[in-house]
Amino acid sequence: MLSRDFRKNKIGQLSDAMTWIVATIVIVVILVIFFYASSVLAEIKDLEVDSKILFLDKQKTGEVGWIKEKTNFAFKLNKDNEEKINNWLEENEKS
Amino acid sequence: MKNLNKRGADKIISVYWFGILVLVAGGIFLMVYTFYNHPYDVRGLEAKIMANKVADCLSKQGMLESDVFSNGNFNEDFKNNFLDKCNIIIDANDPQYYVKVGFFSVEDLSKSVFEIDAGNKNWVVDCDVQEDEEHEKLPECLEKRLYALGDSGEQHLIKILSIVGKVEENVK
Repeated sequence: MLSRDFRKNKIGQLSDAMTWIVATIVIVVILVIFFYASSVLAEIKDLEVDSKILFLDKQKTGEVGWIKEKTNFAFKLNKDNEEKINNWLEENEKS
Repeated sequence: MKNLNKRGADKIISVYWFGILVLVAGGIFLMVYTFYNHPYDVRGLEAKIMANKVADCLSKQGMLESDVFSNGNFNEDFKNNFLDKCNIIIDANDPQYYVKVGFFSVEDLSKSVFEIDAGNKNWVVDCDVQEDEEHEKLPECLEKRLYALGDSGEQHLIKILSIVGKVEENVK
């Protein structure tokens, strides 16, 4: 009779331990996944600067960027070789 | 005897619970550290700002500045004092920037008639390497082109190459 009670107690304690082992593994796996996600997000994060306000970039059609505006001024003064100059301006801009 | 067994199990779980707390706290710390330790790469913006500053120095309202010329020719003094004239500061001991300005004639676009450069010239080779594909750990290169007129109305095409190093500060 007494030995039966002992056997029941042992089974109860074992299930507690198994619960914590599984919980630990789940916690570790979730932490690893989130750590990987944070490192990926760190790689792709970018400073959002509205470069259009700063006129750093050429705008969409009809609007001008800083350097493009200077070129337009020059064209208003002298339009000779316009096509040749425009082709050269648009050719191979490294960015 | 049964009561003793139950108390023992509670004590073990309490210590383990703190262990889990430390593990989770450590994980959160690592995540935050990893995310915020990664720097922003602003070299592209720096290169654009430098190119714009040079363009502003050279050309106003479509005309090249009078300082660029001397007696109808390009002014060597302007070339020698280019950084001072354009208010650009490049540390001579550890230059992290390079700027090169090339002036081209409309008749012959293959060769520049006058060039001005300042900064770390060694990075020009790195720009050629990146023609097909950009490499994060190499300096950031930017080329801008503009058209301006000289004093006598002659046409000049200007190519501005600006290069920003600062790899360690912007790339991990």
